[in-house]
Amino acid sequence: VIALLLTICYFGLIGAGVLTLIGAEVTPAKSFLFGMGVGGTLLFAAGAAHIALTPGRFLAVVLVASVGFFFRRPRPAAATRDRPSPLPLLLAAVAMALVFADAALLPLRDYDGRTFWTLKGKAIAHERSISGPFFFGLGARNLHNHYPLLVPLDEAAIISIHGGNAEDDVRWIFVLCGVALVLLVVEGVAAATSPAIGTWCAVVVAFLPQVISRPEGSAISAYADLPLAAFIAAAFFDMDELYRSGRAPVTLPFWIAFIVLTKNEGMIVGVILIVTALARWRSLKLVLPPAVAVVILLLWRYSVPDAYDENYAALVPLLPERLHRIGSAAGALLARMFEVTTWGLFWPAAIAGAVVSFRRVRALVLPMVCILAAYVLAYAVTSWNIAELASVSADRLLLHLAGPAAMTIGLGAWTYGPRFLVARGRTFPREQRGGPAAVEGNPGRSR
Amino acid sequence: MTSMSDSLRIAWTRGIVAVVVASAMAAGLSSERQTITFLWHTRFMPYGERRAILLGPVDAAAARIRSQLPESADIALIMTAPADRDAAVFLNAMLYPRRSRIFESWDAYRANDDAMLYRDAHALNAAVVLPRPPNVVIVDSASTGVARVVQP
Repeated sequence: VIALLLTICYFGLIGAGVLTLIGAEVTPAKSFLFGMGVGGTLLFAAGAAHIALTPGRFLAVVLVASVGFFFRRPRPAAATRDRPSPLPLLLAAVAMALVFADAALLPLRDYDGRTFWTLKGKAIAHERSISGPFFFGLGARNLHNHYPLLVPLDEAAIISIHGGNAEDDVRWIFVLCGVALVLLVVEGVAAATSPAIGTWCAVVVAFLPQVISRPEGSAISAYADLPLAAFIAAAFFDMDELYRSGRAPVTLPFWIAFIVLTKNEGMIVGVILIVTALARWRSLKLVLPPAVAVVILLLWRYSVPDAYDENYAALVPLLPERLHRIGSAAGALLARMFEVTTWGLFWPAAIAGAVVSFRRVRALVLPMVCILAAYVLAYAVTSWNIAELASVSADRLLLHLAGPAAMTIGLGAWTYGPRFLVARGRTFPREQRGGPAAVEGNPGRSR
Repeated sequence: MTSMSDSLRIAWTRGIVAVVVASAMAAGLSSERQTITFLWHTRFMPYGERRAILLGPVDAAAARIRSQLPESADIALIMTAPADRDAAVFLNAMLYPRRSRIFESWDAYRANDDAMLYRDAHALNAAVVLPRPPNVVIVDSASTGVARVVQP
């Protein structure tokens, strides 16, 4: 319980403080995730500058972030006119209660989370550095030495401050990431459609086995895929706001920076998101935080040796001779999308939603397709057997896009037949059901 | 007032959303069934016993080795068969901050040659030359205790 409260308070305070400081909307989900991002990024920068990562400095991050409260008042989420029915909220709460029960009563029992991600967190907490002996192969066997460290640094903060069993300490980070992803879907989809659609989409996401129960990558494991999925969802929802209202969301560049620092895939996802956003928002503000993140990452990578890292420089030139593998790579990824025992009808519904509301969601669908294409190319170019690789990683890659996919389901429902999902007794003119007027307006949210 | 086509459209959407929600719930609940059943059957058990059941003998072996070797110990995890790889990788993580290296056999240990964990021939590895660890742990998943400290 102490580790749970510590995780909520530590990341929640950092996130709420910085969101307040930059004048962004403060909600529990955004505060937690932004706290994870900002906390991890600051520690990454400190570590890259060879500043010792002591428990006192982990706590100092909270104090620095809390400065925001002295300058501004937190901006709460915009009030909504329509209240969703309690049924979907109850259902989503049941799914999250199952995750909490698992985390509270059972040990962490995944593979990569325990042998690789949490080991990095333990090593950082023990050595108080991200360039200590462990990262030079002088500690335990270190795998994927050059992987971005945002999540292990967040883990190290909790391990250092709490000081209990590392595996039990860190798992609440991932449980809360699952909760935050579900809440983000409520907020993001509701903002684009109606609160009712938002909550029903959240129920779908909350019950996905890849979110609540799969041993690899879900909220009961300690993989970095769920935090990455939550950051990507937040970035896509900001992107939707940018395209819907034309207002530049101040948090978008930061989400992209966190994506870059969370996993290797984050670099390509970040580039795709920046290119998409640049079409509407040409500003240095958009590029600066991700650029700083890339500099931090490269500086640190330059200071530590490789250890079982993918040799992209050798792999990419092999692409022409491995083009024939693209078909089977795409097929493997698509086959997982239609795996009903893992995803239900989530992906078919997302594809249908994207088709129905393509004019409205193309700014989201195009980067999603680009990200999937990048993943397919990565599958094709590796020397792994594609079927084997897909069986261990495809569901985690698809999880990265769960948030925006939920948005396409919501917008599909909103575009095709919105009225049953908004408050009873209210009607909307035909042009607001998904036509151009709906792109500009947001009948579900008071203005 | 809504027209017939609007009503049909709304009904369609309602039905499709219900099917999508139901499919996700069915998938999620069915994947949780095993965990819920396990939690029900072990509801009176302390956390430690549930942990021992789920994590198996590797967890117990790690606890035993931790009590036998200090945190400053350098450990060689020597596999007896390729099937011991996973157990060795878990022990490597669970024994931290003890410095551990994984060897595929006694011969590999004598040659100071670290085990290859991945088949990906394109992985980058910086050359790290270290002396052979003085403490030896034999990893044998087929045995009851999974791992034991031995004299090199």
